Amino acid sequence: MTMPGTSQANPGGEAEAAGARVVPIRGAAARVIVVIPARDEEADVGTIVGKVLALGFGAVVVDDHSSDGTRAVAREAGATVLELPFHAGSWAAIQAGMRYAQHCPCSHVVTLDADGQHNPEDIPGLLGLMAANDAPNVVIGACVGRANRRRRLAWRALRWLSGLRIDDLTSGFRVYDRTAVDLLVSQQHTLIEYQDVGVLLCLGHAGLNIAEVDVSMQPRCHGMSRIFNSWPMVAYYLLYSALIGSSRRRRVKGETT
Amino acid sequence: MIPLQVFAGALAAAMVVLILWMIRRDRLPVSHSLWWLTVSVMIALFGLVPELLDALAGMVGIAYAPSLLFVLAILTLLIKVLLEDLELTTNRRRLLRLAQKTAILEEEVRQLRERVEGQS
Repeated sequence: MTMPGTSQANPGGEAEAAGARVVPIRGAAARVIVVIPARDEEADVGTIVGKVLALGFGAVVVDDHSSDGTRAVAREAGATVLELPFHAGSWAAIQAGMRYAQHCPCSHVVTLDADGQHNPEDIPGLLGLMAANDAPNVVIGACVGRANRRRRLAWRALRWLSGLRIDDLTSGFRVYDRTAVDLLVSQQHTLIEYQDVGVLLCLGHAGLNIAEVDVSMQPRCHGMSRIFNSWPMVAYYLLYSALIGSSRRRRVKGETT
Repeated sequence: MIPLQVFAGALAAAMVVLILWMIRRDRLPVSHSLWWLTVSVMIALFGLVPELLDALAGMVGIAYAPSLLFVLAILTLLIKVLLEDLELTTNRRRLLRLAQKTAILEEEVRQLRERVEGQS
């Protein structure tokens, strides 16, 4: 079920980073650290970690107090695992990973869902955009193709409410550069509930550039599945986004160019 | 003294005693007690001098003075609850920060230990 065989993908990683202030992790010398928030994902997390390590990236799995073997499976696969002491939500988990990555000499942080909907092999493509001269601060791996009615409606509403011109606002597949990471780890942004509109508005507010790339279709290519499963959840989510969007909208417009 | 004054005075006095007792037992921090002591003073004030309420009601144009009392009481509680919510949010933020930090430190300790054991 898991892929333990790929953990030796970064031999010498520890030695290279030995001078760093913080304990080097497997793959800490990596240029890119992939943060994977996981909650009860023991079925897929091992495979994903294996793929990430095989690409030469560092893998940090943030276990959001799972009740299954997510931690063990992720460790077995070679990831660094941060264990949250209680269920803190996916954004708090991602932020924990970012705070960890901040101590490592990495240039970019990638976030990826642990349920297999995002393919780690798409990461180099997203990073390619970061290499350009006027590189964006954040690249979103968008997955617009297969969306059901609920999601299309939600997306449209979100675009309208937030004033953001982004197709896939809810995608959890993103690349952040150091500027974006340094901004997002602040405690001011700890209470954001979802990793989408709130985070994007805060990035836009700071004047950072956000780009979007369409990534290949996975069999289960659907971000935020738990949210879009039921209408009451969609309603709460939209209300949340409406409030956060409308309360910050004007500031965003005023400061971005 | 009319019965109302006795009742209000006793109520306010009991509240003050209760709050002082809770401070003494370290159940209530002094900062929180100030709010409740102010409330007891207000109870005493409006109970012992009912004319005050009538005058105040006349000033803000409320015909039935006792309803002003309810308005004030509800307003006081609303403000208190809102302040509590703010504090709860601050605490939740701190809790999440601590949880993140704990997770990070735990992992670092684990790795350090692994490395030390590997060396020896």
